[in-house]
Amino acid sequence: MSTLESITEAELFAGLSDAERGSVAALARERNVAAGEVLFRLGERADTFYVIRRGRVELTFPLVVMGESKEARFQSLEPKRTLAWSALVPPHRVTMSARGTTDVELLAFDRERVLQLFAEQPAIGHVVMTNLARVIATRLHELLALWVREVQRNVTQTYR
Amino acid sequence: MWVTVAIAGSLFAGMLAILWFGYQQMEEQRQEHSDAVLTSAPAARPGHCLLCDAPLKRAASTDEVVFEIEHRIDAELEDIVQVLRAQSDGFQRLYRA
Repeated sequence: MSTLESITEAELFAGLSDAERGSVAALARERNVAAGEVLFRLGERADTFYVIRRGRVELTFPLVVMGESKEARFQSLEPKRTLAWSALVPPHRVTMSARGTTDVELLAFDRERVLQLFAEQPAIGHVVMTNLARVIATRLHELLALWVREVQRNVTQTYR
Repeated sequence: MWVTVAIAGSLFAGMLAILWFGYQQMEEQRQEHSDAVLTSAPAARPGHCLLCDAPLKRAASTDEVVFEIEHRIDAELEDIVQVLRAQSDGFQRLYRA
C-alpha cells in the first residue's frame, strides 16, 4: 500500500481532497516497530504522531500488582488509527505507553512540519484538527464510561 | 396461718437460691469450656479462614492478575465501543455496568 493510499484510509485525514492528501503525504516518513518493541512510554515528550499502516499497536498503562510494576493493555489499535495525538495537543506528553503487538508499519509525522503545513493551508488544518477532536472525544468517552462503570461496581460491592 | 406463709416463703426463697447457684455453675462450666477451645485453637493467619485455615484470597501471579484486568477491560471496551457506534438504545447505557 502506498503512502497516499494509507493517508486516504487514515481516520485522521478523512475528508481531505486529493491535492491536500498529497501535501500531507509529502510530510510522512515510514517507521517500523517490531512485535513487543516499545514505541513510546507514558509521560514522554510527544513531537511526532503516527498513523498505523499495518499490524497492531497496544496502548498500555503501568499497574503495580503485589508490589511489582507491570504494563497492562488498555486497548489494541488496528490500521488507520492514530497514535500519539498528544504531539498536536499541549502539553505534548503522551498519556499512555505503546508497544507493537505484531510487527508494525507506521507513518510518522513531525509536529513542526505539520503545523507549518496547517499555517500554509488552513483548510487542511481545520479538517485534521476536527478529525483529531473526534479521535480524542472517542477515547474520552471510552475512558469515562470505563471509569463510571468501575465506580458503580465498587459502590455496589461496598454498600450493598 | 402465718406459720404456713413463712414456710412457703422460705421454700420459695430456697428454690430461687438453688436456681441462681445452678445457673452460676453452668455459666462457669461454659466459660471454662470456651476458654479451653480458644486456647487450643490455632492462631488465624492473615488472608486465611479462622476456622479451617483455607486461603481466603486466590493465589495468583502478577501476570495472571494483569491478564484478568486486561480481559475485563477488553470486555468492557467491546461493549462501550458497540454502544458508541450504535447509540440506538440511548447514550445512558454507555455508563451502565
